[in-house]
Formats: sequence, C-alpha cells, structure tokens
Amino acid sequence: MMISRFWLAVVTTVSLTVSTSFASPPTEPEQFVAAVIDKAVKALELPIEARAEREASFYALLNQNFDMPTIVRVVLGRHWRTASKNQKTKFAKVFKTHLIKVYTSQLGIYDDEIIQIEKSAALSEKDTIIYTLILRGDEEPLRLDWRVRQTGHGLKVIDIAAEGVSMLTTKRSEFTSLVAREGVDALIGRLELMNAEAQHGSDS
Amino acid sequence: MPGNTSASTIWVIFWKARMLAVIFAALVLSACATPPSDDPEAVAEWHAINDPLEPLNRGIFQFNVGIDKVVIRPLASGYRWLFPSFMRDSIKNVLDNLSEPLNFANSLLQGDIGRAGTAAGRLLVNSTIGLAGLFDIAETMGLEPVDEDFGQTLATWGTGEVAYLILPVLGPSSVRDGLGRGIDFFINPINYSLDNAGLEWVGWTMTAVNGIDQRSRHIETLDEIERTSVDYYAAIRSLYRQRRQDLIHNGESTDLDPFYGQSDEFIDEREQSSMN
Repeated sequence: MMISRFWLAVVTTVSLTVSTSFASPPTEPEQFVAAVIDKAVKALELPIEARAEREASFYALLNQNFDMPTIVRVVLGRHWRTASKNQKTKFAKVFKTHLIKVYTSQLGIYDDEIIQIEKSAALSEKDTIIYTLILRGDEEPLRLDWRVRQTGHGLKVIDIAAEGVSMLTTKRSEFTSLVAREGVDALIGRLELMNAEAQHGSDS
Repeated sequence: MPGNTSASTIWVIFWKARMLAVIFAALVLSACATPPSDDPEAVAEWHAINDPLEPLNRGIFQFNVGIDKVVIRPLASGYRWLFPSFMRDSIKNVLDNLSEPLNFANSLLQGDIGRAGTAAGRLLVNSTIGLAGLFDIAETMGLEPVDEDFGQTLATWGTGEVAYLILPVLGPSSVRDGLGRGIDFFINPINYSLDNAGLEWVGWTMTAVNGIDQRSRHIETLDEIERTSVDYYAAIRSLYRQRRQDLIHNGESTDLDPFYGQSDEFIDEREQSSMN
C-alpha cells in the first residue's frame, strides 16, 4: 500500500517554502495554482502558536480559492438532493471547519521543498488539471494534481490529488457510505465530534 | 526427483486453493448486499462503489483491524525500533529485487517493452553491483523502480476488478487482484527454486517480513487516516481503488471521476445561497 503519500502530500502541500518553477510560459490556470501555493505557504509561515491566525488564513484561502459550493455538494453525492435546507447549511459549515481543524492541525512540519509546475491538461470546457511535482531532497518527488474550474467567480480549485489519490473522491466515497447507512444527521454529528476533538487536542 | 517434487507441491497448493475457494463461495453467497433497483443515481453509485460483498468485507475488515492492533502493528513498530533505517532499506531492497522477475514478466504480458527492459536491467545491476539486491544501484543509474503485478496485467487486458474484496490478514484487494496475487505466486521462478530446495519456509518468511516492512512504513499514515475519516472502511476502499487505478495507468491520468460523469450539471446555482 502506498496511500501514505497522499496524506504526506496533504500535509506537505501546504507546508513548504516554495520556489514555484515553470517548464514553459505559464497558462492562466497554472499561474492561479502557483498563486494558491504561495498563499498556502504564507499561512504556514505563521508560527504554530498563533493558531487562531493560522486557521483564519486557511479559512480565507479555502473560501477565496476553492469552489466550496461544488465541493460541498459533490462530497454528499446523491444525498445532497434529498437533504433538507437546514441539513445542507449545517453540513457546509461543519465540513469547512473539518477541513481546517482536522487537516491543518497536522500542518507545521517545515521543510525546504520545491514545487514544480509540470504541465496542464484541459479536462472539459471548464476544468483543467495542473500537474505539479514536489521535490523533497533525497526522497522521491511527490505528484500533486490540481483540478481547477472556471466558475462564475473566476478560477477555483475543486480537487487536489496526490499520487493519483483524489481528496474529493475519497471524501465522497466515505461520506456517502456513512450517509447511506446512517443518514445525513449522523454524518454531521460525526464531523462535529471530530472537530471538537481536534480543537481539544490542540488546546492541550 | 526435483521435477516431481515441484509438480506435487503445485498440486497441493492448487488443491488447497480450491478448497478455500469453495468455502469462500459459500460465505459470499450468504453475505451479499442487495443492489438498489429504483433510483438511477443510487444504481450509478452502486456500480461506482462496486462492493456487493460489503457485509462480508466489513466483517473481514474488522477482523483484520483487530489482528493489526494486537499483532501486526506492534510487530511493525518493534521492527522499526529494532533496526536502523539503512538496514530496513536494505532488507526492502533485497525483497524488491526478488520481485523483479514478476515486474519483468508482467510488463511483457502488458506489452510494455520499455518497463520490461527497466525491470531486467534493475535485476541485473542490483543482483551484481548492488550485492544481491542490498543496494539499489540501478535507481542511481536512472533505472527507476517499476511496480507491475498480474492484477494490473489483467486490468490492461480489459478485466474489471469484478468486486472489491478484503482478504483476511492481507487486506484490501479485489477479485481480479486477489486472483492476480495467486498467478504471481505461480509465475515467480523464486517460488519454484525454493520449493525444489525444500525451503518453502524461506518464501513464507520473506512474505511475512515484506508485510511487516510495508506496515512499518505506514504506521503514522494509517493512524492518521483512521483519525480523520468518518468511515474508515469506506476511506480505505476508496484509497485502495485509486492507488490501484494509478498503478494500472502507470501514473497517467485515470478514468476515475469524482463526479461520476455529472461534472457540469452538478451545481445548481439556485442553491448556492444556502452554502455561504
């Protein structure tokens, strides 16, 4: 099993000092991804102790550069349609907090790494995948693919995949499986519990 | 005569495999999930998840998690604590080197001459200059490791995974990949030489050490996945499948689509207001 790289990537994506480099003149989506990476690095340069500030930076990063409405819908899959308005609002809120609390709590490992933008490929009229490589000293380079969409509000990231493992696909699979068995409220409850634990863990 | 020994060993293995298959089939029939019949979206999801044996799989998964907590994880921790990393790397290199014949054969079967050449070159270089595989000299010469198995070969030939499958102790797999493991065992010349020499235990030990080594490289990762997932079983299922797809396509983009083909229509603009 080589899934570890995925999580390593989730952690490292945002935990690097970056000198982004381009193989050829950058396209618009490539420039956008480079800018997102820069912002993530800025957030990570904040000291670990300044937790509130770090979390706020990531929250802003997520809201401004990720297509959260689409992401939130996709991870609920077919259950989005049957969820009540109240459930949708509540889920969107806890899911965002989940991304910040549960994942950024792991960030902070600091290493001089280089992100190289390799190439990009159009998936559809709106979607482009930007392939990047993270060079980590002696270790094998890590593949990180960004799916970027042209939305009504400009370019937004909708998915990140590390070594072929997509965050969106994984979360969708996990969430829909739980909802199919126990319902949307159970999922919201589970996420709230995890968020509270993460909060508690970083307080102590 | 060595020839006879080898033939009878294969027969015994074959017979055991058949018995296991019969027991397994009986279990499977008693543990199938019911497919949805009405909602087309539910049907699409059912096919995407492709886990008709879910009740059985969840049972075996729970069993594996139990074994892991009590035996495998502690062994893996101990292994990592006991041996310095250069030794663990060398052990892994030796085991990886012994699987190059499989990488070679499967690359050939997939019609990938380039990768077959890489595997052959790696075997040659690492078995000699690399001191029986202790050092991965080939990689420093630009022969990057390839990872091919018969499950991937079947996929290249157009076989779907049939169904997701959790193997006892061995973990996540599929009907196709499980079968592939069996075939790999048969086509690996090392297994024949060991059997002929009456050294089957060496083969088992290698398998066990390889398993412990793999586990020791993922201790924090798996803890992390368990901690951050709301459904550990479903998370592992998705991760396994995506990694396999990536290996089958050798890192080129795959046909897995998080939107299940609904990419553009997925967002209903009218509903955006309820999310911000």
